[in-house]
Parts: sequence; C-alpha cells; structure tokens
Amino acid sequence: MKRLALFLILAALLFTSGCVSISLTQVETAGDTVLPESTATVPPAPVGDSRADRAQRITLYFISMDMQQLIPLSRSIRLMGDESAAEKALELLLESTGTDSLLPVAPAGTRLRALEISQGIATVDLSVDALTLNAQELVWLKAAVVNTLIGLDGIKQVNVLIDGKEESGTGLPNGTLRFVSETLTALWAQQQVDAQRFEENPAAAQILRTFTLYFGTQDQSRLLPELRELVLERDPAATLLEALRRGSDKGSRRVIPGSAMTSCAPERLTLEDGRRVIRLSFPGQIKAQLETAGIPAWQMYASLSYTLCRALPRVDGIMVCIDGNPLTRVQGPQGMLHFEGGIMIPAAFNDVVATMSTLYYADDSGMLTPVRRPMDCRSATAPRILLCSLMEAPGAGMLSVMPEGVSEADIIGIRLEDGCALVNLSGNFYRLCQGMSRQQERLLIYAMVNTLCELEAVDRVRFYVGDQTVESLAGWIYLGTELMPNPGLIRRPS
Amino acid sequence: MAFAIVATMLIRMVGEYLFSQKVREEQRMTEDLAAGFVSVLGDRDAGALYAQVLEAAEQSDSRVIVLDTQGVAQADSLSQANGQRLALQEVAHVLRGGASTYGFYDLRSSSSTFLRSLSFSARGDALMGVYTAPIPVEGRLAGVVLYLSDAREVFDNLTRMQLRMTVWLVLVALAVLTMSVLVTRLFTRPIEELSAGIARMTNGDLSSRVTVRGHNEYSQLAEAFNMMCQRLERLDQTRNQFVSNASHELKTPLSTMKVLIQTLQYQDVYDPEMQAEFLGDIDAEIDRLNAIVGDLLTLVNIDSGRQELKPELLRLDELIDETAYRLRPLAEKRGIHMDVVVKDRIETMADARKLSQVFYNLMDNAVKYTPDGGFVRAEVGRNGRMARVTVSDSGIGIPKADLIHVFDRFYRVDKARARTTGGTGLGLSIVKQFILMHEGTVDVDSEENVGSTFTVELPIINLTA
Repeated sequence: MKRLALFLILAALLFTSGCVSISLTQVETAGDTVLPESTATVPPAPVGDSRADRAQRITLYFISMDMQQLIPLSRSIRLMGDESAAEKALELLLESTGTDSLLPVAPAGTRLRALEISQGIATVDLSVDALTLNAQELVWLKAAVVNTLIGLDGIKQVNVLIDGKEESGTGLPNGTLRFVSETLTALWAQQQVDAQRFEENPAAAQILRTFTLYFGTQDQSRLLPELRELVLERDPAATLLEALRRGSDKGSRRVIPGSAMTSCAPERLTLEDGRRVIRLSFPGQIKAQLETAGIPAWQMYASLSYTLCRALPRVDGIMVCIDGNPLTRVQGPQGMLHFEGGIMIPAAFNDVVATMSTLYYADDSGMLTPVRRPMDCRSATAPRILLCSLMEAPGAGMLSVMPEGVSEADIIGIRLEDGCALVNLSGNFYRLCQGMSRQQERLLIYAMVNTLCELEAVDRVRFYVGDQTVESLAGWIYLGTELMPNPGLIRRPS
Repeated sequence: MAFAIVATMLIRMVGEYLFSQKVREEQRMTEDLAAGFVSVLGDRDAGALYAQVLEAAEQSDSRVIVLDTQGVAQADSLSQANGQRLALQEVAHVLRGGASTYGFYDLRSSSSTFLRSLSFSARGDALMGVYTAPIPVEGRLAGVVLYLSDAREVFDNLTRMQLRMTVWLVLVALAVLTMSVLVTRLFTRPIEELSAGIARMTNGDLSSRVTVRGHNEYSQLAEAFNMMCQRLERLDQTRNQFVSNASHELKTPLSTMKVLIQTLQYQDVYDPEMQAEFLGDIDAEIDRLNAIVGDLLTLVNIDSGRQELKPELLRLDELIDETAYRLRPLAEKRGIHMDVVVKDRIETMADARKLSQVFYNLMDNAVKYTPDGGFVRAEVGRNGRMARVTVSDSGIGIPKADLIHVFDRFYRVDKARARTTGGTGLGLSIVKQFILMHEGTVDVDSEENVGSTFTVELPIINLTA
C-alpha cells in the first residue's frame, strides 16, 4: 500500500512537472503603464499660413574655364517663407559672375521671368538678355540650368525658354531636357551632328527628342503637361500636331478630335512685324467636332499654343484659322480670351497649366482612396487649399472625411517647419469631431496627413486645436506628436 | 521520490532553456529589425518604412509596429494602430533609455480592448509575445520597434515537448519501479522465507525447513538454517529421548525397590533369607540409582560449564596401568586376559581424575562386553603431537548402525544386556565430554562378534617443552 502511494505521488509529480505552467509566462496587465513624456520643444500653434525659413543645400552648375564641362558647386542657401528652392537656385545661377576657375553661364542682366513646375516638368522662362549668347553658349546655358534644377522641388525634366519661346542655335528643337552628364564639347558636337543629319535627310536621321505635350484635365478646366518621345520628321510642327491628335498616354483628356479634318499641315509664316507664327487651318466644322467630342475650344487652342510655342524654335505664336479666318477670340474657362492679330501665345491663356494634386477621401470599406485633382501650380503647393479641397464634395463612390459643417475658417493656420506641417484647427472643428467613431477619426486624421504629406516639403503633420496641443479630437488618435502618413490605409488599385 | 524531483527539475530546466532560446532568437530579430529601420526613419520616408514593416511582418508571420519617441505608432504592418499611443511596459522601458526587452500577454484573461486590439492573428491567439528594441538615429533614440509574435505556438510546442518527456520519464519510472520490485522480491523473498522459518521454529516447529532456490548466499544461509533446524530437531529428539531414558532409568530402580519393599511389607510369613535377599537387591538398586544420579550430575555440570579441568602433569602410561590394575581381578575372574602395551612414555598436562574415569569406563565396558576367555588390551603411544590410547577387546562388538550413537546419552545397543551388566548408559557420553574438554578425540571401530576398539587421542601438553 505504501509502495502504491509512493508510486502515485511519483506519477503525479512527473505529470504536473510536464505541464508548462503559466508561471513561465510573464503575464502582464497592460493599460496601467505610463509612458514618459517627450522633452522635445513643441512649436507654437500657427496663426495664418506661413513657412519657416530653412536652409537647403543646392548645387549650381557652372562652366569650366576650358569650356569643356559643367562644374557643380554645392552651397547652402537660406530660403525665406514660401521661397522656392528652384527659383532661388536659378536666381543665384543667373546672377553669378563666376569665379577664378568657373565661367558664368548667362550674360549679365539675365533674369528669371517665370518658373512653372507641373508633374515634375519645370518650364523656365529667361529674359531676352540670354539671346546675346551664341548657339554654343546657349547650349551650355540650358545644360547648366537643367542640371541645377533637376532634383529640386520634385523637378525631373526641364524646358528652357527665352522670352517665352524655345531658342535653339542649331534650328533643331532641344525638347524637354534631362540631366546632362556628357561634357559640353560632346553635347555641342552632338547637337551639330543632329542638325546636319536632319538637314540632309530628316527621315533617315531619326532624331529623337522628348517634348512636353499639353492635354486636358478631366474636369476640362486646365491643361496638363505630358512628356512624349518623338522622332523628328521633316516638319517638327506636324510631328507635334499628330502627337496631340493621337491623345494622351496617361489618361488626360484629348484636346484635339482625332478626325481627319484636324490633320492639317502647319504652315510657317513670318508676319510683317517680323513675328514668326505657325498657321493651322481647320474647316468650319471643327467647332461642331469639338462640341461633339466634348472638348472646349479654348482647350484645343491653348494646347496647340503651349505645345508648339514651347517646343519649336523661332515660333512667336500660332494662328488658328477656321475656314481661312484667323481666330481672334474664344470663350475661356473664366471669360472671353482675346488674341491680338489672331496670334495665340501661351501667356494669353492665363496660367492654364495645372498640376495634379493627390487628395485622400474615404470609401465605404473604411480605407482611403487617393483622388488626383488638377490644380494650378501655385495652389497645388498650398497646404490650406489642399485641406479645403478635402472639405469639398468628393466624387462618386467616395465619402467626405471632414465632419459636417466645417469650413476654411476652421483652419486657423498652417505653418511648414522643418518638414512638418503644423495645422491649427478651431474649437469648432474640435466640437464637430466629438462622438466620432475610431474609424471616422482615423480616416479624418490620416486623410489630412496623407494629403499634406504629398507635398514635397512635408513628411509629417502636427495638429493643434485653438492654439493648444490636444491629446485627441475624438479620443482615438493621439495628436500630441507628429504623425507620419499611413500608406497602409490607402486602397490600392486592384 | 528523488527520481521524481530530478525528473521535475530536468523537464523544467529543458523547458526553460528552450523557451529562453526562442525568446533570445526573437529578441535578436527585433534588434535586427530596429537596425534596419534606422535609415528610413531618419529620412522620414513613410512609404519605405511601411514597406519594410510589411516585409518584416510577412517574413516572420508576425506583426511589426514602429513607434515614435512618444510611443505613438507611426507604421503598422496591419495599418490599424497608427496614431495610437501604445502604453506597454516594454515600450516604456525602451523610451526611458532601456535596451531591448520582452513580455508576454495572455489575451484570454485580459479584459483590455487595447491589448486585444494588438492581436494580429485571425485565430485570436491567446498568448502574445511582445518584443521591443530602440531605433537610434545619429546616436539618439528616434523610435521603438514593437514586434508581436504568436507565443501560443511556442508554448504549445513546449508543452508538447514537455509532455512527451513526461510520458517517457513516467514510462522509465515505471520500468525502474517494476525492475526494482522484481529485484527486491528476488532479494527479500529468501529473507522472508527464512524469517517465516525462524518464526515457525520459534513456535516450536523444529521440523520445518526453508526452501531457497539458487546457488547464492541466500541459498547457503537457507542450507545452514536447515542444518541448524535438523540439528536442533535431533538435539530436541535426543533431549526428549534422554529425558525419557533418564526418567525410565530413574523410575526402574525405584519401581524395583518398591516391588521388593511391598513384597517385604505384605509378606505373610517372615522369611529372613528372602528378606536378606530382597534388602540386598534394594541396596543394589539404590547403588544403581546413586550411580545414575551421579553420572547425570556430572553431565549436567559439563553441559552447564561448571565442570572445570584441573590439569596436572601426569604420566599417561602410568594412569592406564593403574586403571588396568583395578580391573584386572574382575577380568581374571572371568578368564579375560587384560594387557597394557606402552609404546611411548607420555608425560602431559591433563586432569588425572577425569582421564582416570575415561579409561576406567572404556576398559570396564571392554571387560563387560567381552565373553569369558577373551582379551582386553590397552595401548599407549605417541602419534605426532598427540598421545594415542587404544582400548581394544574381543567382545561381542557393536553393530555398524549403532556405532554413531554409542556416545549418545542413555544409548544402549542391547538394553536387556546393559541392564544385567549394570551400566547407566551415560558412561561413554561422559568419556566423550571429558575427552572433548581436553581438546581430544574419541572414536570407535567395531565388528560384531569380533570385538571393538576405542581410540582416544589427546594433545600432548608439556609445559617444559
């Protein structure tokens, strides 16, 4: 009996020892833990829109003394407020008179007339002072400008205009330029060879150039630039016209109906006043064609103007003739547009080039859907405008993330500082957010964060309410820190 | 019990070792993840950070969250915790400057929705392992990696392993126990049998024997026990026989005397001759009784150790001569030739009185059991260091079957004849005891109708040698 009892005790001991007792697990209770507060200084809440001064490193490209190559010169610049790094860099480049070892790229007095950045394509318009350069120097100037700009403010390729027009020392269009890696000598030599071959036999020469074509936005309010690589034919204007007729490769709206009547041969004319224009003659039915195609007439003319004037050298404008009569006016998106002498130039269309901004709306599955919206280039970089766009009615199939009743006035201020967007919301905004569910607050906050972080200069967002930092709007998302975008919340196209 | 303790400790140690190995492995993984996040967190590239977090989670079938210095999730492989402040002890530890650490949470027993929101498996795993590691950027803390793993699988595997170990150990324990029981029985059974045998013997059953198989110490012990029982039984029988014989020997003369006395008492006619004869017989019986009692007392004293030797230097040959001298008249009356041959004159230390009684008994028996005209011869000689005395006769001899019993008490080869020759039946017993007291030996050789030879050997003790 004693042995049996001992045996049973032994078996029981062994058996219980074989069980992994819960004592192996350090079962803890959560929720009682207090995290240490950050000692970092919190910037004050912004009132009004501003951008903090910031330092940025840029690289200016100058010409070597032996005029063989471009020499990069890095320097740190201070950008004040909304100053653009690209603009500042160009200004410095143009102002520079060089050094003991570096030659200036532009003649004295050359200044920047305009800089347009859209879809990663920068269009630089320099003053006429640059025309004093010879053909070779012009090539060097363009190379220096392109290399200086690429990488700044999201710029990937560059059009360089002088006085609003494409200028080329060889007569061949340069097209939209990428970063120049070859030597200046090689660059100029290639340009000369291209010109010569094109002159001898354009078809056989197979000269390839990248051009910026302008197509319509989906809402038909603006134009969007689009790069296209084309082989130059005898008449580059015809090549460009044909490319526009074929339509966009990136989903933009076509601006020229693809019918035969739009297939016209561009004519180069020199007017009495010496201006060089390209005349495009269309039959009278073109207006009906445009209506049928749902294309605003102004959009077609603006596209032709922007595309041809910015791409073809020595073109001061275009002349559209319908049934032989030059068109002198057309209804634009914001009123009537007038063309003096029937000559259409890009400037006549009032900054119609847009860039696409990405806004985030919610869908019914609880995810954020990115919506691409065209905006003028200046608005596209304005944080307030982006947030206000979120307050507008979203497209079909999408839900607004903003609480009912908010307006632009509920955004007290936005300040961009050191990569962070400080967004000061009103007490009314806070009040309207009360009672939101976890999903609602999550979508609201990350719609704003993801949208603002689409800006080149922003990679995180901090929120304030009524000039104060708050822990949360509705109790779910912690706002006492800077929030990074949430890519996982974005619905990807299947 | 010791086995159980050792087994318990072993299982626990193995379990804890394997568990800690797994924990270290996951901690190392977390630290590696943290190192991988340094550059993307430093660049604040949310897209790249999310992609890395997703890849890490997919590769390890876990959930990975990157927190900022406030403990707020900035990247989550499930994209659910973003913007939440994860107030876990492990996070607080790292935020306060600690190194990587870990903890386990039992979601089953937790009522915290916050905790359950961290669960990442569709199975709603009960046990979750939480590992944290700091992400340093340019020497300062820039964030925390939170690595959530399914601890249930670890514990399940551990439990399975430990259960298997337990089963095996139980089987081993059973086998060991069985073996030990068998072996124990192998050793204890003979002892139990012996104990039972001793118990039976204690209760008086001297006939019981113990059976032990084999050829080991236990069987030898059992054999010795059986021999002891046999001897005790024989001794008991001998004792009983002795008591019976003693009673009989004592009762016989008493009975005879009673008859004689009663005859005399109830004699009708007084006959002086018959009276004298009867009184003579009574006297003889009294002498006989006296002799028996004397011999009995001698034996009792020997048995109880009260008989002591009184050694003195004596001449053995002279002792034999003297004894023969005393018996010669009786022998010559019957025509028996008594002879003493002294081969060696032997001087030794011995108890003269007792040796005198020894040789008297032997030579007296020889005369009694030799028919008229026979001979009795006593020889004294040296046999190495021993003195040898032989008493031989040409008497009736002793049957072979009785030879081994002649030295037993009250043993009579021929009871009727013994009675007529007047012996007590104790003489040879006394001879043997006295010789044994001298550390000698006595032996008998006999042939019926030819004669008997009694050989006594005594050690020669010479103090002057």
